[in-house]
Amino acid sequence: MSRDPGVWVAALLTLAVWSYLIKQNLVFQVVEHVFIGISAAHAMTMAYFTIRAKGVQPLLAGDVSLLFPLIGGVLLYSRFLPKTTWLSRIPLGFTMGTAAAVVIRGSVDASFVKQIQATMLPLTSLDNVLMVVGTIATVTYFLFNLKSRSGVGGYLARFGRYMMMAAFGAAYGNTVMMRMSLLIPRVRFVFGDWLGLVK
Amino acid sequence: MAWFERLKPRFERFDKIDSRYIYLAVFLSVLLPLFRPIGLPITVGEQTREAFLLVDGLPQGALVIMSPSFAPSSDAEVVPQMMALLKHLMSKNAKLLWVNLTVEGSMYATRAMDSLKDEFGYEYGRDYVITPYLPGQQTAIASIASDIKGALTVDVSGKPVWDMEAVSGVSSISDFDLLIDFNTGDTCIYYLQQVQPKGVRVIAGASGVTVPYLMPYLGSGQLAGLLGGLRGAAEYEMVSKTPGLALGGMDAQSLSHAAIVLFIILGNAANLAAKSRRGRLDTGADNGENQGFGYENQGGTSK
Repeated sequence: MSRDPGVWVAALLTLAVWSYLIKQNLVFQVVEHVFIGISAAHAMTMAYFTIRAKGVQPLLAGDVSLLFPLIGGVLLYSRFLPKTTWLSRIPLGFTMGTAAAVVIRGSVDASFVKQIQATMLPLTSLDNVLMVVGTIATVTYFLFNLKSRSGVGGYLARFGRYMMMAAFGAAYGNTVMMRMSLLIPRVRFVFGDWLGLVK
Repeated sequence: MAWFERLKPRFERFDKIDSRYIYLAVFLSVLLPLFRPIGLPITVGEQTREAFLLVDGLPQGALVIMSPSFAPSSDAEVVPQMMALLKHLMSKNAKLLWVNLTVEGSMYATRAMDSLKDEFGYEYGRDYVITPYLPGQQTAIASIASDIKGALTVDVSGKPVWDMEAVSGVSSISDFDLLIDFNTGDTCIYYLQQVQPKGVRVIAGASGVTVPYLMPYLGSGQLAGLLGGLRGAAEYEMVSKTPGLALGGMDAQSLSHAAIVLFIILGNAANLAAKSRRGRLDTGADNGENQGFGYENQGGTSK
């Protein structure tokens, strides 16, 4: 069994979290609140040091251009005073405009044009046929203005729905895999690092 | 189905089972293989093999950007991937520039390098550089893509990045041979949108949840390789012949998945049995006619 106090604290906190699986209890709630508090404190501390290192210190060293984003950042807080709320819209608009420009520039080619190109495949293998038909069928499912859901359009839409269900199933499978991947090292930590039962 | 009718009462009993028994069964399916490994076989997936072949084909001293863009909540899945890839890169004497888009990134970079630098004879500055947290996500990546020397000026200790031997010959992002992003969210897609068009090949190490979102980029060839979850890390350890933490956990992962599949089958059988008893299967209310996402009758569409 470990003699490291840090390992003991981590192991007891792990057991406290697992206790929720038996039923809701006070120990779990305490640990939950401790976790939220530490996360909030960590985020605030990192934000403070980031602003200091990336904004305030270079500004004091003579980089005057940083004055504008720093003032913009302060103006975001003006929304807490009813009379000055409008001021917060200036940096917000600037941020949204910049973000939209960056996203559009990158995503149109990488996430739209190239993805469409990737579905233009020769129908020479089952994989390719599934890819092409599956894409067309899934898009057909979202053609809400189709007058009728019968006929070829209806069959395609239904096939598209099945394709999406298969995709959701794959996503769920990956989610399960992730949860198990998180559990395994914790079990190994409790029974190995703490209790010394697993090598 | 006669066998279903025969087993129906047992399935119905399962419908009322206390969920804590299921937790216990899954827990045991994880715990027991850790005590007594079974050695279940593992096959290496195509996407992991592609990543391996790409790294293996890099020239000695290749320039590589490493980007640990994950939070501690995904540590268990992504760190084994990072360590497996890092060992392979360091065996090829790759020059590493660590770009950190999360606040924890530089901590993971420092830990990983500290644990391996002596084994591979790496020296800070000569072989690798760790930059501090760069906020902004996609905006930050766009600035790296357009002007990497302007976006990353100092390292974690405040020294000028581009004076260091590891990256002294870099003039733009296109000088890098490879970028590896370890992520749990959108950062890999941002790299594919901003950096990959500049001619830098991108590999992703992703948590299991993120994998379905990255698969289309792998299919289109934009992503050069993908390691998915702990399984991806284990596959990479296997193909690169560097057994580590991930391979050791694969028995537990496989058995726990088997337990979950079994419970899904039993749960559905119990649900069917319960419905059958209530006679709802014959009413048409739940026989699949009304399944879907509820969009069919929206937007003026008549059914």
